[in-house]
Amino acid sequence: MKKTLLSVENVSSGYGGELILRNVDFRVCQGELMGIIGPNGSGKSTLLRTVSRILRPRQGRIHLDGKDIGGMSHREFARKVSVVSQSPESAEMRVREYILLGRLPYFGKYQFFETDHDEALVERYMELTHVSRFKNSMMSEISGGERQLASIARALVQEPELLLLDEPTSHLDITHQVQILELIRRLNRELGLTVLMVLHDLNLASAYSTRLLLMNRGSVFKVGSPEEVITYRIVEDVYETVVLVEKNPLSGKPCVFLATEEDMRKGKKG
Amino acid sequence: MKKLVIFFFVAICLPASGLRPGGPVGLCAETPPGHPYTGPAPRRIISLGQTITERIYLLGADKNLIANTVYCVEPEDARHKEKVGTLLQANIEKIVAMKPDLVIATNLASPRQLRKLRDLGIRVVQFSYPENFEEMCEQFLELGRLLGREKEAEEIIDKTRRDVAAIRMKTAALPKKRVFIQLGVKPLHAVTGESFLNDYIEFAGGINIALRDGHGTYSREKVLKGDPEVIIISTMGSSEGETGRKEKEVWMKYRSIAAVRNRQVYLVNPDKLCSPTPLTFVEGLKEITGMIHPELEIGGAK
Amino acid sequence: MRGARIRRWVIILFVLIAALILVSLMALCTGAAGISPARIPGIIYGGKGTGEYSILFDIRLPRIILGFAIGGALSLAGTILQGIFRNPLVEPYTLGISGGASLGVCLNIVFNWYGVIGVIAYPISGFLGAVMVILFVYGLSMKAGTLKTQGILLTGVMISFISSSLVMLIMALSHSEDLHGIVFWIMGSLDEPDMLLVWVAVIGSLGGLVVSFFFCLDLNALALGEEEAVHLGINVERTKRVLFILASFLTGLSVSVAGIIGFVGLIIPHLIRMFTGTDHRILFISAFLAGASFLILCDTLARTVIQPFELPVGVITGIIGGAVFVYALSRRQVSL
Repeated sequence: MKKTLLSVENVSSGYGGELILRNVDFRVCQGELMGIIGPNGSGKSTLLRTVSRILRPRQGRIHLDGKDIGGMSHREFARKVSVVSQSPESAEMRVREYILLGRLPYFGKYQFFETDHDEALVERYMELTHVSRFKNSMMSEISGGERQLASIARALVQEPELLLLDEPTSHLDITHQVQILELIRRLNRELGLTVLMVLHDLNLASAYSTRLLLMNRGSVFKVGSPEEVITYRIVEDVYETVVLVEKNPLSGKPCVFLATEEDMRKGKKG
Repeated sequence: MKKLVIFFFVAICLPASGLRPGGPVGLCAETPPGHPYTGPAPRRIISLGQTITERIYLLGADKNLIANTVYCVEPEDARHKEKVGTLLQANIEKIVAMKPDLVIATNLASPRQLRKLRDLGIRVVQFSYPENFEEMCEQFLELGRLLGREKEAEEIIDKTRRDVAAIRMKTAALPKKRVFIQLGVKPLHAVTGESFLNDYIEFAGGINIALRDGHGTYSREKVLKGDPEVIIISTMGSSEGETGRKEKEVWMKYRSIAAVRNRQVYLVNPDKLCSPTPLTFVEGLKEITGMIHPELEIGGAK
Repeated sequence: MRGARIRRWVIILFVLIAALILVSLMALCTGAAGISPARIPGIIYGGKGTGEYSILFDIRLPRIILGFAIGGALSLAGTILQGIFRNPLVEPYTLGISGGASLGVCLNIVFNWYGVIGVIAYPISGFLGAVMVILFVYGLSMKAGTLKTQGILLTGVMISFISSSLVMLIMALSHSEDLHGIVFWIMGSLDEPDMLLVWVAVIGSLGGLVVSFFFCLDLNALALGEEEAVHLGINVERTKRVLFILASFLTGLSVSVAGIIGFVGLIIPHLIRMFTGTDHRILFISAFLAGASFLILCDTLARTVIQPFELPVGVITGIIGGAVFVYALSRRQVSL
């Protein structure tokens, strides 16, 4: 059994008076690449925001490496967990400066300039994420896919133990979707980085995750390998849509096909 | 915020010379009453007010006046003196460079600037706006003492008091008429009992319908209710021009007012009325008396 | 990379300091008294006692020093607020701080506090007014321990409307004497006779600059949005709170000493950002220096353009600042 890195114990959380997450309980092991899936409004992003300390849990506790995250300082937490949000802001700064901000959690109290070590790290991760070629462009002038890459580079520069991503491939075409997910998988495999990411697309989630967490109505519906979670029964149940689940002939991973109403009429006739 | 500032300017320009003054009681801020200054007469004087300039000329001390403000246009010679700013804002640097031995200001001058001048060792005397005729006379005498022209001041004041007394004698016997003096158009601004100008009405044998109305913003309704027998319009800056005439037309529509029926709605030049020297006070009083009691044969009335 | 950037920053600082010195010297050499610059070394060498020495060092120099402090403070406050709110239209005056200060001073004038405790009542009442508004706005915008920046902006704008209405109310009800006292103060002027206040302003604004510097990296991170900044390990709530109070302090200080001088806090941060970029490490100090130079320049113009009139310095900052701003915007095609 691998060591548990993140444990979410019986957490409830939400905005204002409204609870969105109820009694969520799961663990992420070291070196895992866990995908969070679920219908719209099922609480995927709220879960990620609670784990990343934007929202404070109303109930329950979250431990990272055995330590309660509520008790950590902002800086300490940022050195362990970094977050790539859905659509990074297009701030008026150069890509390189933006990535350099990822070193802030390591700055001393009276330190105002980056060290040579910081610079070297930035260069290294820019190479790794293929950001180097546009490192001198403004963040506001690059494409959405490039911005997503830059955001991942910034998150890596934080040298985290856990990387959280909130739908890193939304708004991107399949070229960029694959490019980014391949990168995340490489980071997971080669650097041993633990990843927890929200994904909209069931097939991408199935193809890239080692384990899946299926959310429904603010609670965990099922946790397990893609084969265990993506079955037509579970998906039809949670998504309330008729689907067909087949094995991807290349990878053997489960693959979801939609069934339109017309298809179903034809299917019945045939 | 800019609108606010504009409002401030307008607000101050309208009633500036017609309202009750606040500020320190006493005739002048430097020497307490009863302890007149007794040094040598100042030789380099700067005046920071039109009324002060006029009074200095009246006292014949204008040779020692080295500078005044851009608003000092009476008498003609005052226009050609060096200018050091306006009533409200003076150019401190220029004043200091001219090395005056006495600066005379009104209570409209910037307190910060006066303080700066005093800090730099310049003697500054400040006259508040007189509350009534009697205070104006006292101030004039005080100025005379200050400039070493006490005798001239006394002569002028004696004559002024005699002239004013003569007019009051004539009007005292006549029935009092209800009078309304209007200073501003927007907002409608009245001369009240707190104003210096109220003395014109009383000496001329009238009753001010706005006598007890504190400070001067007024409404037309109240004027109609007060039903004045004489209305005198003295809008700042433009009595000769459009504003005053238009305002008169407005009043002429209200046939219920006695003054309108009697055709006793008049326009007056506010410069003379609002910033009086002993001399112009008598002239102004004659003019007002002529308006309130046209039956009297008094020079100056039309 | 870092070396090149630091070299660039040093050049920017050098240019700004040179500009500040130049403008200050110019301000020292120009004025209604018409002292020719060639004679100034002689006057200084001649020492105290002469009228000309007095004009240079008792009249012109205090204004330059105060211009440095107030211009720097306003510009710095604007930079900080624009950084927190990530909104280029925010300036010290949008938050109702100046409105509160005006109200305080009006009340002081109407209730004759200055008669009781002296001239010092003006800055004190102005500052208290500013503090009241800050506490009020701040209290209204705190929800569940977090400061809602959008809420603060709206509340601030509303408060500033309310206070200007109250000021108008006071003016409508007050006598002309009080009225013109209010006008003098509202117009804004660097003509402060009390040297103690001048030095308080200098120390206050320089202190603000030092404190702000410790938060420059936090503000850089805040440019990415509040959540991103949290992810970067920034204690966003504390940063916002400290900087908001700091900006209010700087504004309250300026307004209560020099009255209302608009536009500096809006325009200077913008113009400077065009040259330095959005990095607050260089932006803060550059904006401070540029604001100081700008206000000294405007004050020199205010007291010399239409002699012998002395224009309110706010008029000049508005005209020059606004014109330069529109020009720069149209050139750069920057969308707000």
